[in-house]
Amino acid sequence: MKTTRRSFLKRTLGAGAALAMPGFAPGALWGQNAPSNRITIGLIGMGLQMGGHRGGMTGRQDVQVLAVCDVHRGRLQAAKAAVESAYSQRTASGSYKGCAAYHEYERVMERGDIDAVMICTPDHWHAPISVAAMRSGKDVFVQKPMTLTIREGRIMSDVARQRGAILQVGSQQRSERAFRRACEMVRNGWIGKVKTIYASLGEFPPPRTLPEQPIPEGFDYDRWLGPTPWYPYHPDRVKGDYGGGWRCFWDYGSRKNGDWGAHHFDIIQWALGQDDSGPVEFIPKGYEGAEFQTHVYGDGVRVLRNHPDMKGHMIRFIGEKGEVLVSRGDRLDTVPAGLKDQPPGPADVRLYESRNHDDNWIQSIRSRRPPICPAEIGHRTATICHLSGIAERLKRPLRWDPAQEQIVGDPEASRWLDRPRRAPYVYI
Amino acid sequence: MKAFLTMFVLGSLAFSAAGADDAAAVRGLIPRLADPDVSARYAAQMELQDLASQSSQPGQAARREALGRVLAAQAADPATPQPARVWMVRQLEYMGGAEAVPSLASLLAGDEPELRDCARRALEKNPAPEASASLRRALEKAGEAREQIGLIHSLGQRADAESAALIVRHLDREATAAAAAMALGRIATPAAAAALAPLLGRNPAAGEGLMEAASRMSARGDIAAAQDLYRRLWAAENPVALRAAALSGMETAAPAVLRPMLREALNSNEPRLQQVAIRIAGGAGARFGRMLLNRYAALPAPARAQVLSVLDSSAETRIIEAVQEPEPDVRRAAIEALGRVGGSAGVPALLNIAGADGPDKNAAVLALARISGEGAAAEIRKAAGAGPANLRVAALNALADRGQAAAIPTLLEAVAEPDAAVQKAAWAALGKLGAEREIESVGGLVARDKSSEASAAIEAIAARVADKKAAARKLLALAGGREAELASMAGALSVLGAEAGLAALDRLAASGGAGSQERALVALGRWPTLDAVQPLLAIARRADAPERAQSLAIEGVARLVESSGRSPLDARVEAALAALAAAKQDTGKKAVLAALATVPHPESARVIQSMLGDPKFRSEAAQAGIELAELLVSTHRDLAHELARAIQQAGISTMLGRRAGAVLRR
Repeated sequence: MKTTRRSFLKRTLGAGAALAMPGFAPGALWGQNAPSNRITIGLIGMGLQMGGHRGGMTGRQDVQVLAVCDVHRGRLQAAKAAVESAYSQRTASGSYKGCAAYHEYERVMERGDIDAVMICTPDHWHAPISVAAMRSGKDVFVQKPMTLTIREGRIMSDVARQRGAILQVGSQQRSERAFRRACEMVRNGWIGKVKTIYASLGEFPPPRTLPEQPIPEGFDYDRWLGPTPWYPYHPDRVKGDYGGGWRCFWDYGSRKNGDWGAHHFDIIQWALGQDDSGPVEFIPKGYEGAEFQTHVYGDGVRVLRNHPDMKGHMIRFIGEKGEVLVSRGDRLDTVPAGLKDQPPGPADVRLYESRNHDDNWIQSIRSRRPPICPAEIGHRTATICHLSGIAERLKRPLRWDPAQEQIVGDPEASRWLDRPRRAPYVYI
Repeated sequence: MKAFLTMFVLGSLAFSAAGADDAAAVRGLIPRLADPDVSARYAAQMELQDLASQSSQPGQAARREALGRVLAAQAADPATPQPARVWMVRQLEYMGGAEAVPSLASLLAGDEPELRDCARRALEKNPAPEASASLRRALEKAGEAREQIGLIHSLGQRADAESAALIVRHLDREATAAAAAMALGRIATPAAAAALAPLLGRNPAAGEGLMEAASRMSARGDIAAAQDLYRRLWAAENPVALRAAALSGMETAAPAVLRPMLREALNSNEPRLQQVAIRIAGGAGARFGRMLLNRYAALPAPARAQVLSVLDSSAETRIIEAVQEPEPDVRRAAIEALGRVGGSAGVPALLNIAGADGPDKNAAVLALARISGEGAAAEIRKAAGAGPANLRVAALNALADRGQAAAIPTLLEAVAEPDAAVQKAAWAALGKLGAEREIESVGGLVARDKSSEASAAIEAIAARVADKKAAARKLLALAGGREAELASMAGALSVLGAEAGLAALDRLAASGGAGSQERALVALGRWPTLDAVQPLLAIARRADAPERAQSLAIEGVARLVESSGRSPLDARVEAALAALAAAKQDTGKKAVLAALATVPHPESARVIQSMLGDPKFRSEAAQAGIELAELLVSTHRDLAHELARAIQQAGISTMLGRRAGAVLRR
């Protein structure tokens, strides 16, 4: 990456504080990567999901974590300590103090010496923070689903395109070999015309109304709620938990459609070559006896959620001439079985290959070339998650125009394309 | 006409009946929405939400309006408990119309902050024009910054031109400046833009507001005004991210005047500007293609790599030159570009890189697998047939990666070449590309060659064969009962799993020389069914069997027990017990113990438990035992518990003890 004098100076000055610390030796910390070659990042939302990213980023020679940010004071201090501890192990003195801790993400945006941010907050904060980051000239890694609403996605995608920001959505299944191969097989017609696709998302427990409890010391609950409606505090509302917690509540996401749908619907979009488009109809489970939640593409392909006959897989593509079944852990099966071992032919479509999602983001920042899951793709996938959720809430099917990004013939349902924001957290 | 009137009257009555029902339902829900037991409120909330959803379906305008009126009136009534009022206003966000505005306006002017913000949000989304007036009135009176921010934002979301002058007043106050700038940008009238323009460079939000305004002006066809704003935002003193956005905006608003801006961006020293310029120029095809090529040499390496990623096949010569550039990222971008758009001319360049052991080898291999421009496939095939060995190897690998089955005649010739590397690559490619129709021709070559590469190739082809019996017959005929030929096809015969193949491998294992016997035993151990157990046991039991053969035979049985999950459990246990009895070495017994762990059968548990006391096997028995107990616990709970207890008592390791404890808790 070409380094301008300004950015070089900024980084050199930024590193100055660290250089003043006793025992600090940048060469030992980052090897051959001089400050001007390092990508400096801030980590925002230091909960469950950030754990792996933080470890990965502090372990890299070409990245320096300059700041962490969280609304929970205890978690924030623990994250700062973890980053500094990781870097301390690479210094001669065993000491490093160069990671700032911020309570408000806006302070991270003000740091001109930070190139990029990773955002692992609950879904309702993804878009506001991502947009703020891109407007302040930073690149972004944001967890899936990319947004809370469809309009947020359009804004994020436009801002990323206009500003030349590198935005990677954390739909990391795109960086797994089995999913890419599965998509290539489907895309290249190896199983004939695809008619039906099953996707296993599982279920969350229903949301609940929860009695008020005292807000823990050091937790900025108002900011955690941010743009979403006010509710009394209860620990189960804010808990980061893959089996429930905040993910159960409509106010902070689209429940399982947003959680696992953001992974599997994303792969289905990729396989069908619909990355810049999407389905045209969404039918909720139970509507006129519908056994499964379904969305339908313009060419008639139907995607059924939680069909029981998954044959042990997460996604099952059923075509006229065969099947492709794929799961995490590099599990790929085909019918006929030999299909999965067949190499693609020269005329076959080969999809973008990434072997590590986080690394792909860093390499894209360096090369200024698109990552494997940029904003437009994340937006189109999140759109499916949200429309499935809206149909589920309204208990009626929705017609969708993916070109105009409008719900067709249902003005009240269209109001769900965005959600009004609670003051003062209204910026996007 | 009479029929229409009848329908209308009936329809109205139906709506009115539904409306009365809805009103009653709402009143009935109020106590439950405010239930002192908070957790009990959820069901009532969902009922009200469903009611709101049903009433707002297309074609239910009258019912929606009636419910909107009821909800608004109840929400505005101080006698309605607060939690019920909040939930009602939440429904009005998504289904309220003009009928709800007066009540929402009164809530907006009320004392309760939560209800005020709820009402503001509901008015923001209300389609009735009069909702804006109530928001304006509230903004005039609002004193707190938090509230002002909300109201300004809502008016901006509604693009309410009448509020522009009111909002401008909030531009110079730190707390509200950003909200005001963005709202004015969304309003996007000339007056709103004029208020923002002088603040560019002083208020960071002004740039964002102007960008939003320009984009909206452009979308509604006010191109001149949009262009003017984009030009202001393009000024060199503005932040790079904003300049990049202005450049993007001009792409849509005024593509005809884009050229000088693109040139300036490419000549700048800003990666972001160059990136956006290259995207725009690349997307415009031939129109700006020449500009990119002309400036290519002067660009920094990342920008050159980006240019390469947007060039089309007409620039193949330039791309080929770029694979020699010193910067790794540029070279790799050039290699990728050749894979994307290259033809026959690009193939030699890629083969040179793929045929060497340099840092770009993998990228070139990938590009060779993908290159599909004119003449590329024929060029690769030609290179596989003649030329320096390293390039031939690269070309042969490419043929395999590309699945280029038409090249099989070339491969059949190449396996007979004297160069070992060429031969090896050709066999590997044949293994990948060969199909059922090649079983005989490849089999014949394998019978002559007898190398491990040849055996691997025929085995790979055998795995793809549909008529396995016929294929096995052909291979056996080619081997003609000769030991060495048969040994070279042992793996393929095992994959095919035909009866005739089993008999041949049995004979080879029993009477072949050491090398052939080993290959036969390995092949029997990989047989697809338990049918190979007896031939293996026969070798294992022979007193004169060499130690290595005995060991391979026992390990083979263990592998069959483990891999034959669809065979009857009794048969699997029986095979394992026989192997255990026949095994002469401890390693063989340990392999069988591990296999027994996969057979959920009472006898497996008994045998494993009995070996827990044997100092030579206690560790392996404990490991096998815990795995079996975990497998058995859902079907044979008592047995699993007994085994787990025995493992705990054996005290082999803390970890195994913990796992045993977990089984006992189930």
